Amino acid sequence: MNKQKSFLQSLSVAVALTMVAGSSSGVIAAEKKAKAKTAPLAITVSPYKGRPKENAKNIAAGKRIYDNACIYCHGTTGKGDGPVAFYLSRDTAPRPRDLTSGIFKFRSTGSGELPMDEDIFRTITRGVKGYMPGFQGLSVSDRWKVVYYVKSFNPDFKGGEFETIKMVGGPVQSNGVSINKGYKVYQKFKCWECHGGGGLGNGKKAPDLKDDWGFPLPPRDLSRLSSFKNGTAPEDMYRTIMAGFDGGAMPSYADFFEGEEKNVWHLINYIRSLSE
Amino acid sequence: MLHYREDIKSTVVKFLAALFLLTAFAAVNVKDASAVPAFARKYEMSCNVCHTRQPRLNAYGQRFMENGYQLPGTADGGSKEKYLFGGETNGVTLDDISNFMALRLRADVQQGSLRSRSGAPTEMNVTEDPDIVFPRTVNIFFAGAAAKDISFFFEMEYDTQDPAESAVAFERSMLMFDNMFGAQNGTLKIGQFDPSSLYSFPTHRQMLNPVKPIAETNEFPPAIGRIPVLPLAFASKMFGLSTGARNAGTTASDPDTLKEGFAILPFEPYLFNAPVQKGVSLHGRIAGNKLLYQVGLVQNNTAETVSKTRWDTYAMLRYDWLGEFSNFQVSGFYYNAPKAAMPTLNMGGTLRYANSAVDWNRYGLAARWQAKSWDIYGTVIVDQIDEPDYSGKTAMMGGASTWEKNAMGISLEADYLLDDKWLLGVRYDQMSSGGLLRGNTGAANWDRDLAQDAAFLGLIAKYYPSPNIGLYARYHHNLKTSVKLPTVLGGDENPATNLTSMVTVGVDMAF
Amino acid sequence: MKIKNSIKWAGVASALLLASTAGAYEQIDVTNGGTISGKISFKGALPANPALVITKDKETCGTGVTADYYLGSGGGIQNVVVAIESIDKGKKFKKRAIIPFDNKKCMFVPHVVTAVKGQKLGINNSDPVLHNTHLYSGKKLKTMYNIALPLMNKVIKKPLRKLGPVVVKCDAHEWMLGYVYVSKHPYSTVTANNGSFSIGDVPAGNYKVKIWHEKLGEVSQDVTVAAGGTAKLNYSFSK
Repeated sequence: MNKQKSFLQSLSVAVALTMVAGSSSGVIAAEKKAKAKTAPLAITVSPYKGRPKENAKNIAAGKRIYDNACIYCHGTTGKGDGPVAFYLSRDTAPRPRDLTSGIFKFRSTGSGELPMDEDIFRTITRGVKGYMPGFQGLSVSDRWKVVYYVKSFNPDFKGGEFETIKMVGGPVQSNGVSINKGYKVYQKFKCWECHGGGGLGNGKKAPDLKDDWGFPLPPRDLSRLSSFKNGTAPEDMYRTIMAGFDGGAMPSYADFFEGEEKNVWHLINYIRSLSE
Repeated sequence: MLHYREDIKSTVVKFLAALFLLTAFAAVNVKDASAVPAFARKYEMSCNVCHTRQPRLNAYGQRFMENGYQLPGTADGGSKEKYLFGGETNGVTLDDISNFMALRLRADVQQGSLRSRSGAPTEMNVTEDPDIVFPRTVNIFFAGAAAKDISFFFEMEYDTQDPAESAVAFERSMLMFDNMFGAQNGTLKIGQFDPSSLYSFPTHRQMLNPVKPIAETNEFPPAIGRIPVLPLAFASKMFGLSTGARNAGTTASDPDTLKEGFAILPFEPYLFNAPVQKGVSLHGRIAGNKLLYQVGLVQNNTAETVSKTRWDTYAMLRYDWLGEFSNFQVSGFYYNAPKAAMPTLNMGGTLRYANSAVDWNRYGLAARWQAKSWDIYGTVIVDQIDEPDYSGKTAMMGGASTWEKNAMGISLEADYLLDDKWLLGVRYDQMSSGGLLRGNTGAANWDRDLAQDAAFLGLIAKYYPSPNIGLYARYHHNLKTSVKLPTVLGGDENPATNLTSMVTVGVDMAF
Repeated sequence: MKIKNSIKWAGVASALLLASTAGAYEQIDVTNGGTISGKISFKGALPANPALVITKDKETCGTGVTADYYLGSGGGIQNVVVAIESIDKGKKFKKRAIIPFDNKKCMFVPHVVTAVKGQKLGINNSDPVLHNTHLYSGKKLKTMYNIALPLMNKVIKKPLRKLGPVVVKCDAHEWMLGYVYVSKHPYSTVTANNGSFSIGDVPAGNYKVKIWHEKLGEVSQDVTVAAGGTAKLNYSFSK
């Protein structure tokens, strides 16, 4: 009886340990999956197929979907004060986005600009790693309707100026030469002052960084590629560096890479090398 | 058994060492916010999206469960990307196993104080649990949505401390057909589950590992070594009832002639609030997003002499209000269990049953208010049985017994989330018991009511080094003064007041 | 993507054209304009400037630095914005002007500056450390720009498109504070160290003038400007 007990005990502990090991390997597997997908929109269908018109009827339909799927975090008025919002990073950022503020993190537009419709669509589709689920369970058409409803939260979306960030060039082959060039950019543009020498997010400026709402928002640990909220593909990182994160401390570097966009791709290769 | 006191110190050390190692191991592996239990793994979210503190659900988590483990407002079939066949629209999905399998390990140390421990220490009288074993309970879950609007949940529980008979048991296991009448309406659940999972104070999802009763329910009245420390509102609240009759004239101690029939413990969760019940339930939302209904059937056995299948019926309605960083819900239910219990008297070693089994009705009202750091929930549950029918029976056969038909229980808990890691809670439980008062109102040795009220105050502190690991300490204090059993039943301490206090320290981890 | 952008720009451009004609400021030749001048002072001694807590880059930012909120001499207050609240037509201004704004020794120089909507703020970094100049506008202090300035002496020009006081901060150095007061017209200025100011070429008329200080608040005064005359405007803040 005692032997049986202890055998079963050790078996259950073994199962537990396997589970824990299995979950961490699941994370590694997810990272590998993320690396394989380099398309900026990690969905299988084109975002334009099934895109409905932006009219009052579709905005109302978007509201219905929003009221069932989004209010728990983003609140009924879009202020990011839904019943669940408090638990996400209780005293630290990020809280769910205040959609009425016009401040959006993940954009392909200039600093201080509103996002493009496609940016909002991408965020709804992919979610934000760790905080917002990806809504690939909603059809493409439904997601666009929610985009239109989200835009109705802020009047600036109507007839606003969109200074978009053009993607100049594309990802370059990641080799020693490119990574070295990227390293030089990292040093010259002082990324290390916030992100730290090894990109671990422990730069000298890191401790006091806050978001626009006063919550602490430390810089990303660049050695953990899978945790990048804007996405893990080189194109996603290009947008981050050039557009910056409005609402957070990450500024836009678009002015400094003007005419030298190739250096951005080298910098991206260097950053990606930090997680290997 | 007698030298367990010396063992405690070394076993405490062993326990803490095991705990430390496991926590350290888990903490190292749980760096990423997303590397934790199955649903969080699948959707790559942190635990706090669905839980206030594990295992309690916040409004989003409740809707996720209600929607058949699909994101609220969607019918996503549970999986983001992986389709086996049928493609994106009609496919059957199978995620990596880590996306729908989870493990829960629980262990605790229990130390209770009893008022009276008559006779030599036997297993029934033991309140301390010096065997600190980690884990004590292991649960393995498989849950998720297999395809759009088809969900499943299977749970196996292994209690390492239970005597050999119940090794691994299927706990909750159910199949769900979601949103059959349209979005958020008409979800059918079939299987073995908690009827009260959608109630504002559900049986499951208590912050603390249950402290189970130590009782011999084969005897009548049951020999209770320790009552459970579980919300008293859930309890059956009735003394003197059993689940069935045995052959008339049989002595309780003669095993050969015993048929099925166990004492219904007054303090154990029952009916709507019993942990695992076999049945069907249909739930959905009406009147917009705000009103949730649930109707269901539970299959059981009647308590009649010749036991038959009985179908309990229940209905529940819940109103939800969502606000800024807060939500409020109130729910009410009615549960009917026909011929569910048999009034049973032990007259000098012989069991005397009523002429018929009694119908049992249960009504409940619960509310929950979550606002920022506060999570306050409570319920009032009223139980009513038919007047036990001992008509035509002599005093010796139970004809002179008096019973209380009504009983009520209140359970109230207030949790405060001090910060990301600490939770403090206070719980109040109260039970106004019903059932058997006196077996023979005329007899001198039936000098007190058997059914006595119970009241407990509990204090809880829980520490979460990471969101999926909870370490807690709790203290429950009996607010009632000493009441003895009737002299005819031994005159010992009444089980309602026998446990003066209970301290448990435990761990609850999910992977 | 490109096609959609051009359609968008066309729509935006026409919307802007329509918007620009309504309530816009008209630039004219002002002949025989008047002047609003005077002194903004403070009753009693100016409040003491708090010490700034320098938490990083001490080699560049120094230590023992006090804030520059209350500056002035001879009873006057520096860095008070004096601006006509609204005026439909008036003197011309350089649309393409670049208003210099520097990060120097981890402080913004100048601390307060005025500009006309549409003009560009020329943000520079004179320090060898990374500054990110983060501009906020509106009542809710919404991010207008967050520009990284990793290199020294490279001016980044950003158009000022919102009205009112624009708060300038640096995420990397949380004590840094500056202001750009943006009006629709060029009739705004900042007081000198002795509190004096002068706004010239004002067409004759009655105006409401806004007097704004970052800590002392904002008041409105009525002023009548005669053709060729000088309207005196003195105001005294009291704490």
